[in-house]
Amino acid sequence: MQELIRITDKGNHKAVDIKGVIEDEEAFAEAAEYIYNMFEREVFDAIICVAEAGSYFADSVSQRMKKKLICLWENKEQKEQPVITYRTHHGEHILAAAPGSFDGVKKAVIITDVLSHGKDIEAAVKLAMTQNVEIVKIGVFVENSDFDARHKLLKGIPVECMFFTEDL
Amino acid sequence: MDEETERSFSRMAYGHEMWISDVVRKEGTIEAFGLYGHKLQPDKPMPTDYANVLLYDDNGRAPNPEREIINKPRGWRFSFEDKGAKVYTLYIDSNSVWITNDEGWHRGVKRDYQNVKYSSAYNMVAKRIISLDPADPGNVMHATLEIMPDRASYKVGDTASFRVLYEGRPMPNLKVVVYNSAWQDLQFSKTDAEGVVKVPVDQKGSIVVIAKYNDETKAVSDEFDETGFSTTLVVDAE
Repeated sequence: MQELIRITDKGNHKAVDIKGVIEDEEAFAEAAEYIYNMFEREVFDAIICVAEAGSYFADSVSQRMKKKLICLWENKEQKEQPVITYRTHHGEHILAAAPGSFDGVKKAVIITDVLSHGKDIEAAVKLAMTQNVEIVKIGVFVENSDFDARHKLLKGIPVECMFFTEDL
Repeated sequence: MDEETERSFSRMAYGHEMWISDVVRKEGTIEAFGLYGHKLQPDKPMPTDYANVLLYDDNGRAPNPEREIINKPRGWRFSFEDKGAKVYTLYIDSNSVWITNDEGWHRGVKRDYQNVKYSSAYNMVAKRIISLDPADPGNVMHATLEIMPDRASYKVGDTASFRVLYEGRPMPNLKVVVYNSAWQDLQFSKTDAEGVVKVPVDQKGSIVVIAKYNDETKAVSDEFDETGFSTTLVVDAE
């Protein structure tokens, strides 16, 4: 499967492209199984994903475990719903959830296809906290080691990944 | 197959052990790995709410170690600053409730499921003693079901002695599983009248001692029928 993941050098960090895995039925099934196993014994009510960071595996685990999927996306227009602002080198971003999407949710996990700078995932954690939702664990298909987001931004929340870029 | 045997096999097939494997001292930090699987073969990190890691030093409870999920080995890494204690005792202490019904195993209490056939609370504990002196295992006993070795580590040729206690009292005639990472299979043994099981140390490696005890008096009518205690101690044999 590793050969289907493309790592490209962007100067001061690497970029990760997992399109090859998504398009390969067998590889995707293998990865989805691995990520399912990250959560099979966890206790939680919902899965959160961030659309821009990739939601293929969140969707797969959500369907298999019959868990509610809360998809967050960039939305600069609507402010009547749960939103949070964060900054990257591209500027300010507003991450939004559909109104009522956190209703009844006490514990959630985050699943993301790729964890890079992690600012979007950190924002997702903070947004969940504003809704009194505890993030139990973060599951990742490929974690970009160059950014070390798990230690720099997500300390205190367990992060499990299938691959680190340094291993690819 | 009688009902109890079937139930035990079922638990063994689905149930996992957790243990604390290698201990590494480096640059003023001590790291240990909390693993989950069978016969010292980790298969996945234990659930987050199982990985409650506790530390004792020479003066009692110390701050909880930091924890992180890693891939090599696939499990949890616990780390804490080495402040020079003679003996550190590290525990993972987890509590969970599982039930079985027609659809299989589920985490949760009886009242939340239909047609529950079996339900139990589980107190699963892993213990590791990290001692500067191989002869000194310290005296920390934190778990309800405890295993206390007579040394912190052993040498080939020694006879290792482990005392099993439940709520502070020796547990005579209790079935204990013993495994050495150099062996092919688990061995089953029983504690003597004093709650002690002796294990000849015939090869280098990690010796794993697993004690299990089900207490049917610890039940909650609409939640679980009994409480199963399982404690795993790992000691080194050099």
